[in-house]
Amino acid sequence: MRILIGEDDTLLREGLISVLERDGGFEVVAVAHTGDEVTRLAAQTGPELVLTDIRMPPEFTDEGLRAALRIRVAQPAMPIVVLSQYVQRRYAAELLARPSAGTGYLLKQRIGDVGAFCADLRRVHSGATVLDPEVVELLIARAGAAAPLAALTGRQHDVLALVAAGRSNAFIAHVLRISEKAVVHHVSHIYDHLGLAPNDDDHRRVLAVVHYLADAGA
Amino acid sequence: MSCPFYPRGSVEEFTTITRRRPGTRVILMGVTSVDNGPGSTSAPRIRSAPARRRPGLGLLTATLVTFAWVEAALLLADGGEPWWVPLVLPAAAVVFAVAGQVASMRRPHNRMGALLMLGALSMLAAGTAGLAAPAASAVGVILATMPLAVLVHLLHAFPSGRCRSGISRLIVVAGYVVSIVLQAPQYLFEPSQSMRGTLALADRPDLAAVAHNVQIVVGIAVMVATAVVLALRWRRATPARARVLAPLYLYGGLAVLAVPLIPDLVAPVTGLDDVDAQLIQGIVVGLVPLAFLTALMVGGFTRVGELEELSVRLAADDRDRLAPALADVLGDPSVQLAFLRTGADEFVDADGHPVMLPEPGAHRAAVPVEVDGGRIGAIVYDPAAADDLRTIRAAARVIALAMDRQRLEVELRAEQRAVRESRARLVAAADRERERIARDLHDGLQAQLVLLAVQAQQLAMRPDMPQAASEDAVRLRGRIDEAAARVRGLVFTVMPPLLVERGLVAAVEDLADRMPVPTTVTGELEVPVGEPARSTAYFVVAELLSNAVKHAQADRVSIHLTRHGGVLAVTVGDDGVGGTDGSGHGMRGITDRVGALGGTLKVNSAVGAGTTVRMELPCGS
Repeated sequence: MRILIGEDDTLLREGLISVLERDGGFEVVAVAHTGDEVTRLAAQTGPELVLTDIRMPPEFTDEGLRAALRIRVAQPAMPIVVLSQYVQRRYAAELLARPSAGTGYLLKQRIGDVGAFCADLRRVHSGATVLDPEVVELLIARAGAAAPLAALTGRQHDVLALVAAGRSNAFIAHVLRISEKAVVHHVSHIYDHLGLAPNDDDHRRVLAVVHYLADAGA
Repeated sequence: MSCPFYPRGSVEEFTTITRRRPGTRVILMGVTSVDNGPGSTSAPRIRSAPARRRPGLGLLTATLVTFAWVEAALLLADGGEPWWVPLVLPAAAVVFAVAGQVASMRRPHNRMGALLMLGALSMLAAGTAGLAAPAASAVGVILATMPLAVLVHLLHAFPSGRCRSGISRLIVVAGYVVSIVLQAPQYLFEPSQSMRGTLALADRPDLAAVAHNVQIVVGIAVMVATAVVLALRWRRATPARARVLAPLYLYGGLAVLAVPLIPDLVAPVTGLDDVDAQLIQGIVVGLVPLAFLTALMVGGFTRVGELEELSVRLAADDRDRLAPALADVLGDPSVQLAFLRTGADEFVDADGHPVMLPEPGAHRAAVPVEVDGGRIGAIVYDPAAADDLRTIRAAARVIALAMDRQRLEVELRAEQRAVRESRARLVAAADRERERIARDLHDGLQAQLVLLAVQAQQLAMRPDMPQAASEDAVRLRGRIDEAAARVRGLVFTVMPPLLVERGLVAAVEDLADRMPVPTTVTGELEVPVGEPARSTAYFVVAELLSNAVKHAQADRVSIHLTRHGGVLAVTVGDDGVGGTDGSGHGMRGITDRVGALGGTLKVNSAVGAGTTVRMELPCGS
């Protein structure tokens, strides 16, 4: 898979390249140092996935996120993963506002779990939505503060968090050590409870849940 | 009137001034009469010319006007064609006398009035030349050109009535010499000049002609020198003064030139006959005193009160009126008071703002104000508006005690200002430091932790790694991730990145997102709030939200943000137990912070009725 990297910090960039090329077997086609460069190189070098830091020069605020949103408009089919030292509900909501190709929003620290990180990139490349557990926690806490999430059982909470993070039924079953059938049962109960339409498509299921959570109480 | 801050003697001296109040009469039109009375030995030593009743003034004017009438009547009796020609000089004399009277009433300490009276006298004297009585006529012949010298004198002496420089005094004296001494040979050696030659010593027209030429040359020199002096004075004047001085100087110069030139130069060229020339001369000269009077009354040359009145006004204990009262009395609206801060070589104004005393030679000047020989401040004034340095020095003595009393308040204000500014600077410096620390943690430490985690994991994945070592490396990575999470938390506490990246509303919404109870954020901030108000407001909200959860056991919290002009208002309300007095450690911290920026924090927290805290903070416009 051909990847465009947006990262201004030299050490982190080298670390990323090493992880992607050595451990992930990906090809880094271009490296951008600013938000504008990310947008430009995404159009010029034709990567299969864009991986960018949110905080980039020249302002060191959210240039990377803005570049990602511009790419969303110019190349809706481009899978994008944004990395950050910390996560915000607001950034997740902006990133997921437009239904499109695969999207990821991960803490930088997740790079350390090399295998999981590379797997997440592949899932985004295949069209999935991957949210960092911290983002999901934020979303659920927010929604829980305002909406009837409190009525869910602890197990249903766990399932909801994993669904929102973009995990498949099989993965959830594996992590929670329950049967896939039990997962389907939980998900359908959660759907009923939140008033969402049942949906077999994993990706759209994630989006529905995420939108529900992001909008709740806002 | 007891004031513990002042030496006893000084207070007594001050009360001496105030006790004079019953004897003080303030008369409209700015004429102030204060009867110093026989006990003036105990009066404060105010050395400016004390205001006295001036019964002689009206008498003098009346005498001059009467003389003018008599002279006019006698001249009319002698006849002439046309009949009004002899009236020109007496009429001009009356205008001078009345203008002099008005000027003296308006400005008792100003000598312009006296000079105008002198002008009236010179007009009358010159007018007697036409009288039939030889003795009276002789006076007129001797003083024929004196009005010109008085005109020059008036120009040099404006606005105070005193010649301020040695050059001016020299020129004025030269003017009188030209008009009186150099006039003498003309009647001494030319019998036709005086009636029946009574004043002639010899019949030497040649000598008279030589003397006349000398008089013309010196006269021109006097006029040129006058023009130069006045032009320089005009250039040095403030723009406001210059606007008054320019027409006065031009008109005065024109009048001085018109008197000799109209009959000798203008009339022959324009074909003006003798009678018309005399009429024009009379009108030009007659308007001179009105020009001076007008100039004296406008443009800040006017003093509407006197020093004694100032002391009375000061006694009224209306301290903020000190500078305006002084401005009125000195006739200089631009007067400022500069207070010397104790123990500091720094002057401040009444609001405690630092002020610089003017440099020598500047448009403004300063006179020191002293109490017991020690300097406490200065009067900063416009030298062009001040008629007399002695008056300002006297004013400095009159206001010294009142100013010293006000100085304590001013110093307090200056110190409060300094403390407030220093607190605000401390807050700003602390914020900058927080931001720097957050950036260092963010860019340095967090990035390193990411790389360490990557390395630990790569180590674990090495094919030559024994199983146990590989598991250790994975555990190590987990520990590094924990450390990274703690650093993230630390960055949030120090200076949340979202506040810097997206501003106050986004950062407050993020705080609300992380609240365990329903929390709403409402209100609008159309203009981004700048530092240090932004982080102050953020930390206030963070502290209040934390209190709502930790202490108030609230089930709902609301945050409202608005901005009206330069004031940011943030209200945080909860439905918790209430009853807080806002004295906790965290509350004290944010109260100090808000106070340092000149804001307020109001806590409304009745037991059982929840807590509402409203913060108002200046945030620039």
